[in-house]
Amino acid sequence: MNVLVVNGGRSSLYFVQSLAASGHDVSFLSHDRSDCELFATTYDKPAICGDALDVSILKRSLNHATDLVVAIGDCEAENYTICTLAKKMFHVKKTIALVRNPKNIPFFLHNDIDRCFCAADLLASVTDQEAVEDNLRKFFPPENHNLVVKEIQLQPKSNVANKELWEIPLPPQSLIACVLRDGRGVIPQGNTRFLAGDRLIVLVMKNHMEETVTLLNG
Amino acid sequence: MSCQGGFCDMKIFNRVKHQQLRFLVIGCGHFGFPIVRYLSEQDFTITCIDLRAEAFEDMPLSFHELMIEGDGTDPATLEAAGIESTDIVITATNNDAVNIMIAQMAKQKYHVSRVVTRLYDSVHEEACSALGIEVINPIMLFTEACLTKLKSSEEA
Repeated sequence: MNVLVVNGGRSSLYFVQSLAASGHDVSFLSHDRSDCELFATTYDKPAICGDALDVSILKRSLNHATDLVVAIGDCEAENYTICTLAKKMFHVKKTIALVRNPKNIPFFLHNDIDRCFCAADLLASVTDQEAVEDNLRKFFPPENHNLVVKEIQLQPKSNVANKELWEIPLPPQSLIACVLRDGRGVIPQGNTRFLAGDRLIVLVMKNHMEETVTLLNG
Repeated sequence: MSCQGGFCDMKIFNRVKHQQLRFLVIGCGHFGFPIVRYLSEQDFTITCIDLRAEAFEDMPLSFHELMIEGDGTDPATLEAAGIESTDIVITATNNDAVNIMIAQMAKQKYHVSRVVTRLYDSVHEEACSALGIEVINPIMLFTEACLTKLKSSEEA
């Protein structure tokens, strides 16, 4: 994927590093000269140093192959404007913006920005998950190690591939809590059909774990 | 008051006094503060927002504006300032991206009928025009006024 990362200071370079390691072709545009120099030295590629709200500079940073613009500067309004310009003027396929105020996410999405990242929201959701885990620990103390949360990927020869949930005779004290497929998570209903390759998040009491794993992937 | 930014075209000053139209000014620095002062001297109803409480220190208490310390891109601040019942929004911060975002929020989210945006850096004019933002460029206004004065003095 051809990705243009805009602004974000030193921390954006760690993000660039991860993208490059995953095989993406990354370009970098920033108003900070020292960040640009660091990018150019590290990746042996030219970085563009300038104001991304200057249309001529944004145009020079994009090319016909740019699939994604990621604006991760400190100023949320600047991220918004950069992504909106990339979409409306240069028809970039996808844009992602860093948002400071979670209340502004609906406004960003309304203006065709594809994804928003909000540190406050992420922290809140992690805290929520921690709270859920805390409650689980209260009811299922770790010293008993009774409750197991396990991820199981369905193999092509799995007994349950192409079966619906209601057809699967799950052992007592076991539950398929979530199905991860194509980057999305789904809470299964009775008529949910499982496919080979699906990753199932299973909650099961330890004494029924082996039986459950054998049933799902035996 | 000179005829700038399309206000005279709308003959808005005559209408505003009678109809008690409400102004919301975002950004009360070197640029926004004199605007707020001028409008309040004319008895218009004004609310102003600035990130810094110091921005309001020099504002005479006799002005009846509502001053709000807060972030103009935050919907909660805009709503506390009564943007939903505002007739004219003036974005006057020294950050064009902030001005652009507030202008679009005012139009799209709060359906404000008239939004006027200060352009801080002329290099952003093309971006504003691409996003359909109506801007006033103080530098261009000054330059045009200079040229007009020069022309009239040459003719005299």
